[in-house]
Amino acid sequence: MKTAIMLLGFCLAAGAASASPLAAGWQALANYRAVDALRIFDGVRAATDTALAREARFGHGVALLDLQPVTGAQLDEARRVFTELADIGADDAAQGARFFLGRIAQHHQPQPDPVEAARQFRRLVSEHGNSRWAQAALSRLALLQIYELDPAAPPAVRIAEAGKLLAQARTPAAESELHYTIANALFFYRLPAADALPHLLAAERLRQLDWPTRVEVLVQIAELSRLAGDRVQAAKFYRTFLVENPRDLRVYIVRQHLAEVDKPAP
Amino acid sequence: MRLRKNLAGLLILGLVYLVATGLMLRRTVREATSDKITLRVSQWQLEGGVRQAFDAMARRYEQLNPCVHVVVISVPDTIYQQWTKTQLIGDNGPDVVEYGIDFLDVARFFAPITDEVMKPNPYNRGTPLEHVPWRDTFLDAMANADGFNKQLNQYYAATLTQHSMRLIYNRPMLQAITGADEPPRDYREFLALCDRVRTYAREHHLLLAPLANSKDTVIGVANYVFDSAASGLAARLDRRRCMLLTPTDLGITYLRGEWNFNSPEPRVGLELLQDLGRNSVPGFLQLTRDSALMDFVRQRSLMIIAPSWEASSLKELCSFELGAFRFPVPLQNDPIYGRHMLGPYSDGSMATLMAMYINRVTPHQKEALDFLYFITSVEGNQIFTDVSTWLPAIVGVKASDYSRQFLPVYDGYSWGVGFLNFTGVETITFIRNRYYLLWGPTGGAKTYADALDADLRPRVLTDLKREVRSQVQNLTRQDSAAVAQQFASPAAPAATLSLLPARLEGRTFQIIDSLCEAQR
Repeated sequence: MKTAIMLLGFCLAAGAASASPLAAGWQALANYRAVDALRIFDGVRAATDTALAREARFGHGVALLDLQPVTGAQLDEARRVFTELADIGADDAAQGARFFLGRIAQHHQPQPDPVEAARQFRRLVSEHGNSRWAQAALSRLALLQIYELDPAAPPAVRIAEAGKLLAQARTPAAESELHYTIANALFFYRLPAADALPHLLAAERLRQLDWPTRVEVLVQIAELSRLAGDRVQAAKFYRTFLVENPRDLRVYIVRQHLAEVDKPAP
Repeated sequence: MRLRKNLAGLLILGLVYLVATGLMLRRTVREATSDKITLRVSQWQLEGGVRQAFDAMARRYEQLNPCVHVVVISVPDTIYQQWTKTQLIGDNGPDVVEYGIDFLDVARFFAPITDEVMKPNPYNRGTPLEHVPWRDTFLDAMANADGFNKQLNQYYAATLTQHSMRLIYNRPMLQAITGADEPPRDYREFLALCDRVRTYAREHHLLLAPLANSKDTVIGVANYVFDSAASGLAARLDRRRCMLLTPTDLGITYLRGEWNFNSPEPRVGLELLQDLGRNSVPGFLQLTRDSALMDFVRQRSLMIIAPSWEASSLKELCSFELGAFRFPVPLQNDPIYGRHMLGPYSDGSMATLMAMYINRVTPHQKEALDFLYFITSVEGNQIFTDVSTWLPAIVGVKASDYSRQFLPVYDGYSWGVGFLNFTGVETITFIRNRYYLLWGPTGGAKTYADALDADLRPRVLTDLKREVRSQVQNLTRQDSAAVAQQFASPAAPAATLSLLPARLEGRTFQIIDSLCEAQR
């Protein structure tokens, strides 16, 4: 009876147009109201509709990760819920649960466990390679391979290993993120900057970069092209940058460099 | 007798309580029964003209939108943060809030405006900005810490003004000392002018210094001078080839030993700052901003270092005519420092300020956004600029004749970071607490540089560790929020998850890598 009343209340709160009785819970969580979200998810966990109940349990786990302060007991509880969901079933909740198992090991635990995080992400990629969860996991896995898993290996080897993940990218967004991640690592480890250029060009071509990343990438491509002597490509990207970002603080330097590459070759 | 006094006190208290309750009830009833929407806007700028500017914008907005009543709440900055947070936590915050990223909890309290920034501002119809995306109508394209929140990868705030640091001078006094009223055009002329002022003071037995200064005001100009001098170093440190550095870049490269405060350009920067101190009122490090203003107003100095927001106050306080000029940092043609310099210099990062956010839980989201559109339109920002005499934030809005001389110059090199602000609170505190080693009686550029380099490293490590903690917390919270956002949407599941980009997460790993390397 209590559950029914709560469900009715939540349905009313979510509005008649809501597709799922859990929508209000997700909306609360999107607004950083984990307590409200938990209350809503927990009210639906016992629902007879299996899909609904699984989504509610998944929501319960995600909300636990955001309920401040996040305690060790909460993490254990979230891990238990996600493990159950991921091990039984292959639906969105199962895939999402596997993703969050990786994230708990990667970032939530007081002592991160990159090996366990990579194991979860690899399993997700191998079992549900085309899913949005697996595609989101790819660049996270690449970061683990580059920076965490084998710090004794030379950076170039680690980056090359991460590069193999490109073959698993099924969405332009995942491919773009991987290219960017690799290029960024090449800069960070002071490896030949020219090696970053093809990755940056590929990332730009996919048109998936968020705006701040794109601004940076346009300048990087132009600069690396200029340094490599490709004046035409450099000029093209300097111009694109200026058209798209007329008020950026780099405009002065970009104009200087554009004037330089626009000069007739000596 | 005592009982009667107590009774009178209680009666007065009761009366005050009744009047306050009555006023509150009247307002509540008026709001509840009125067809009008009341939009509450809070801000903390109590400088002359700003409150009036807000009132003028609000009244004009009401004319254009008769269904909305705008109430501007001005709260002193000393209690503003506490007041705002209390209101916001209680879900009783104003609809539009002036806020700063430094106050934290932006994602919790405010609604992002990312979906709106690429659409034109409707209040710019009929102006040259009619078809320009809202983002690009701001002089900095919203690329300031509040406009675009880098950690959350979302646009949040619309800004109203910009500021600059200038040397303001007493025009008649300059005429009396030099026979001309033109300010110095370069660094050598500036030093010569300072020498001339000292000679003049000696000859006329005056208590007169070239420059009024204080521990508060010196910070802004010191950053500008040092960062300009370090422009060539910044160009070398830009190993990511994006013509921009971040505080994290500075920290990582410092830990890697790629630069320090004894590197050629930073040493030049410190020598310039030493000159600045030598030409300031003696003991300025002990003085506050008000004392510096007083020195200038009472004509005990020819010039004063002042941010543009002081300009309108100075205009009212001073009985003499004022002029203003940029600190003339040496350029490539300087006979002594020229080989280390890479100019011309921009007035720091182009960043508009006075960030107005929309309360995440306000029932008046639409009206709050509309109000932001208006105050950042050509008309709205012109009203703000005209009434406050502060500088505009919007393209095409004209500064007043007087404030025009404070308009920042952005045609020049700027690398987006402050070397003296460095990686965070630990390093900033350390650097500022040792100013006496630069400007004290036994101090100097080398002494200061040595002191910084001797003990800065552990502070950089602490700042970077703190940044990792903050970024990891941000990543984990945004994971949950982004996933929730997608599940909350009634539309079919998206093909990709809108998590924070790998760019931000990669940065966290790079800091961790650098910390491990530094501690090995």
